[in-house]
Amino acid sequence: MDRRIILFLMFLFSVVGMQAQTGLAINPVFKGAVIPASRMVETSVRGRSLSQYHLSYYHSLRFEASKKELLTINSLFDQDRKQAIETYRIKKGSQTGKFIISLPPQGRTHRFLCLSFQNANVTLVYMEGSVGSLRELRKLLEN
Amino acid sequence: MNQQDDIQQLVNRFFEGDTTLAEEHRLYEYFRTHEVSEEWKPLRQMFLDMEVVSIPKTKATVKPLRHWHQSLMAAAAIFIGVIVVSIWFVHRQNTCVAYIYGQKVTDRAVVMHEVRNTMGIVTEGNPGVDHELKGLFE
Repeated sequence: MDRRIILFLMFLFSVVGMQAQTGLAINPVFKGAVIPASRMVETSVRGRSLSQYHLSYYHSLRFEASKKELLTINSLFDQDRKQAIETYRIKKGSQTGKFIISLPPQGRTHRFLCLSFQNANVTLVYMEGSVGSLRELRKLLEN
Repeated sequence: MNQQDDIQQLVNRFFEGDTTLAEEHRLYEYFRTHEVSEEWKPLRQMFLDMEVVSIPKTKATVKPLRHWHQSLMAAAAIFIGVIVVSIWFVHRQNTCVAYIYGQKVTDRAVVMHEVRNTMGIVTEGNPGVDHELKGLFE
């Protein structure tokens, strides 16, 4: 009996403890494994504050990266880009670029990942919500 | 007073209904483990029978109580677990936090300013962004 209760509680805690961007190659960057937390600005917003954007979760990182770090981040992002169902890309030379990808939805939740870099300044954003496409997302973000 | 006299006294008190449960068990144990005289043999059989009868009674009263107690504990543990998880889940559904170079900030205005800032970086652009997107999706 006691063992069953412990297993039930462990199951509950493991289910709710899952991270939104779990399963993505870029996840170690969001977890601070590539750039230490002391060198970046991280925001994590969930719920009512994002309702105007039709998003349910917004997780962003902003930091300055060395060339080696930028290569690592690009490499991880490229792995996620392979499973993208929609991609938006702007690249100006090797110093400036922006990629927004739409990841396969999880049920009714659509997921987007954005990587923007200008020289050493990098912005990485993970978003999820009911927004169905990059076009719709762009419109909501611009308004 | 030797043990046999002691037992004789207990037997007398037993028939007068003055013995405690512990004393009755002492009698049961004595008659189960000792050889007795012919005179006490009918008593021996009686006490052995009474001991057998008393065992299921004890189990029958204790077991349901234990099961009831365990069920209550299980229900309480699950209830507390569900409450804790629900509170945590509701709280998690409405988080608004920023870590600015390692410093935790929970001021909604500051966090949302940073969100708009990064959103701006995502959507900003050079004039070509709008054009490229239009070209891409239309």
